[in-house]
Amino acid sequence: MKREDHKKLLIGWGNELRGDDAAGRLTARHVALWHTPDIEVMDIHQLTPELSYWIANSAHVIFVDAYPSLEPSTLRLSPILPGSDTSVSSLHHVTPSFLVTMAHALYGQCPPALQIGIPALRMDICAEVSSFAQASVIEALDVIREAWALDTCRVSDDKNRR
Amino acid sequence: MSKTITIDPVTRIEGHSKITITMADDGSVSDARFHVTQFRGFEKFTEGRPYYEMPAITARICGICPISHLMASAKACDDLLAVRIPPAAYNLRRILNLGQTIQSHALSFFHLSAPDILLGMDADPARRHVLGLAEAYPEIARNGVWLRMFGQQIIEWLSGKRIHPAWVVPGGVGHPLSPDVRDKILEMIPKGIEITMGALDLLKKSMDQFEAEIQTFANFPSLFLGLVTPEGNLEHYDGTLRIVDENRKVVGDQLDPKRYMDLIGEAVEPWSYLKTPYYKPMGYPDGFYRVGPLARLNACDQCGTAKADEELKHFRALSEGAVLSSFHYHYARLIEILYGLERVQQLLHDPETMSTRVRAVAGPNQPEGIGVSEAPRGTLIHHYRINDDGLITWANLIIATGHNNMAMNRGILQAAKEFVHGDRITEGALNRVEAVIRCYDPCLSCSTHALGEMALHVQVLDAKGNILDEARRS
Repeated sequence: MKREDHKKLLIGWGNELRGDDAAGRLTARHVALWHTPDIEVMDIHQLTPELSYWIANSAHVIFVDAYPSLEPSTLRLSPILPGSDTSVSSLHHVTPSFLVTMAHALYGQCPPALQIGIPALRMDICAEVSSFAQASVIEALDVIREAWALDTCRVSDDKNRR
Repeated sequence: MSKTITIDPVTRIEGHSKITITMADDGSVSDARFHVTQFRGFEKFTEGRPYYEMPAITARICGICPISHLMASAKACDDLLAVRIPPAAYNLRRILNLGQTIQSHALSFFHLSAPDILLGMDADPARRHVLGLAEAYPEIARNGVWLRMFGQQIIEWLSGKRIHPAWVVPGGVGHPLSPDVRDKILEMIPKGIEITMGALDLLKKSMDQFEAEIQTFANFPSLFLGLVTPEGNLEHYDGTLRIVDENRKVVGDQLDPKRYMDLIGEAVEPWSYLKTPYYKPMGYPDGFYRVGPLARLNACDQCGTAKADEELKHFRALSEGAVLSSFHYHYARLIEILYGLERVQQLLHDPETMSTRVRAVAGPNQPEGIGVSEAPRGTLIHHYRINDDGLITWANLIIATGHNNMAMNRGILQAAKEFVHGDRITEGALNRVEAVIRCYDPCLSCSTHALGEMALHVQVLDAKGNILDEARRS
């Protein structure tokens, strides 16, 4: 578990068998293709408490997930602050704000964190992300570039759409 | 007038459930039930799927212990192929399974149950959780994160990802172990052992404070079921089944797991989606038994690793026969983490583990396959039948949490009788009833093969079923 501290951390999560719920993971895979050395990417099924360790040791964190939407909608951007979620019922899966709170409580440090919500039009049982959600992923990548002041090529994202 | 209390949802467990406590006219507890309120039906909708998809499909039963399902499912598929997997694959599956046990037990002990043990059963519920633990005992909470992360890291390094990896396949595993990964795991094991030994010390020193809970948290005679090695030692991946009674007298030994249907029946109760397995020779409900860490340590002769065996001696000193209180699941869980770390170390030093021959390739050779392994929560059984085209025609899954259903129900009744009085329940009483369930670390999503998260709902009912009081947590 050795790693270089103070990298930027991108966590994309969701269920790949639930249609647009996979949008966060798709975003993570795009970012991984940038091959940027100071960015660490996590492409995962769900958020679990041990992620607090990686979060505490990062320079900045962006969480990317899908949110259910009945009609085409825009990205939801929200800063995550420690202390904003202290609800604990399971710990088998947790929220970004809980993880940020836990990172702060356990390690006394927590980087700035942003959550990007991608609108999900369909979350039924299927392994395909809708074209609308794919377009939203491209928008999310622009947000990530801007947040991290990156100079990566947008064309490669379009090419790498799944 | 008799009354019923409902706890809904049950917290700090995986899945959805509620508890109802029925009060008699004199204000005493007359009955208590643990209701599992979610359902999925994997046994049915997998019918028609190709057998080789089963490990990947059934791993989706759970995001917490997918490795356990992968393991039992792959073993059932090995049986369909009628192959013996290569020794390296055998060792690598064992390591992966132990990585799963380490991470699951670490989460259960350090983050789900340590708040009760270290902050107290009566502590303010607003602080009696992992964040409160982080404030009061930051080192313990950090150690819990580290151990859980290590178990997850073993899984990721071996199989490519932490949740739902596709590395375990019928006939073996997808690729061999690299020396780099072996060395990385070996380098971290000493710290894991140090953390676990520290936690064991802390737990043993805390036990005096929990005499009432030890006495009343599902503390009763029962049978105990677990896999053992041919020598009778602790086993998580293979071996044969052993059943012992409350005196640790062996009731059944060297039982072929493939004959589980001769041993285990499944009863159905109208008030829960969780089925109720029982030991067939003793019938239902007399043949109730427990599985999981406590049962495994009661069933085995020894662990088979030095430090875990030393701890097992102290554990055995708790009782002349089997250790009966389910409160000691926590203790057993820590000993199993220690065993897991030592055993992974042994397996990584075995030259056979590094062989590049890791998969036996074959088509289906038998119409029926059974795979049995030990999940963190207990014995896990996958049983499939296929047609000539290799498509599933029938599936049966018996999950660890299901085996413990009767024990959990009797346990909450015992605790409710001790701690609940009158028609209102105090926060401390409510937490103790929940804590009995948490001892088993149940995974209800697995045991009903179901979706969802665990939360608690407790209701107090009168004899006519009217709700007198209820409490919910989500």
